[in-house]
Amino acid sequence: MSADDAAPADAAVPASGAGPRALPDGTYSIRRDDNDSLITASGGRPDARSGPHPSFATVATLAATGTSIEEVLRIAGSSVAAGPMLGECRVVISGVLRFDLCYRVTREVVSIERKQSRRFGAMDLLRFVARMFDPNGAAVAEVNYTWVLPKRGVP
Amino acid sequence: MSDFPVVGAALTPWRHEVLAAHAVLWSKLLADPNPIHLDVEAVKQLGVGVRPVNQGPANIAYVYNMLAENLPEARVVTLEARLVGTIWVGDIIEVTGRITAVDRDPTGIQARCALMVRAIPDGLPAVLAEAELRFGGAA
Repeated sequence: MSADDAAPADAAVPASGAGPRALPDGTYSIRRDDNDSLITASGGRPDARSGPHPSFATVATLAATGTSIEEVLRIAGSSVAAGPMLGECRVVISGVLRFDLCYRVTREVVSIERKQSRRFGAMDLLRFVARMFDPNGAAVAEVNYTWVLPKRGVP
Repeated sequence: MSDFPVVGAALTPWRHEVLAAHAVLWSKLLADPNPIHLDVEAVKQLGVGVRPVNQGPANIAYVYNMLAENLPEARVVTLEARLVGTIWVGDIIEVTGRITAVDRDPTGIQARCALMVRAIPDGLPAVLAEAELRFGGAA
């Protein structure tokens, strides 16, 4: 489903604790064997790229140390058991992804907004931004996520 | 598809069969414990289907793969994706798209593409995406 599936914005009500919130920084290194796994899992051609697959911008910003997906969901008042779904994603890769560098990953919960979905009833939209920086501090990638967090049982 | 982008040109469709083993790999890569990607019973309990749900970042990776096959000299700078539907484990997906804009400047060529991911033969759109690509020039 999409964040657009929600009712118009005027139906939104703020969820509790909905303000911006920076999360602890983390780190991520793109390993060649993980790149091989990602290419296998996505059906990519192993010889198509000499460097890491660009999807490591999303993988790194979600899987970096510091704050797990479960922890982000907990902060948003949800959990993996609720069936969260990725609704929107904007990936900007401003640098070059490289193997075996230790990237610093920063993450921030931008907002949590209660909506009414025509299909799923009450849900929260979790907006979350994550950024990757190389060891010299240069920005490499930024990913803006909108997660759909179903709130089953909430009117 | 030529490396030289032309506005309106259709990109060659790209297909992939989504296997359960792929979802397992994605869960490990993403450190994502969500059971709906792996466990049919969890999917049924949530009432969202009868097969495991493919991970959203996997659906986005297919767009990158399709662009790499069609435009191997280009670098995807920005990818905006709306996940408007679901891809299930067991689906065969197809990515289609076309070039919507081309700009040239001294640093190189920039192109924009509109793309869609859906299950074939009759799936509804699962991802609607726009990509900005750069040919030549430094990162």
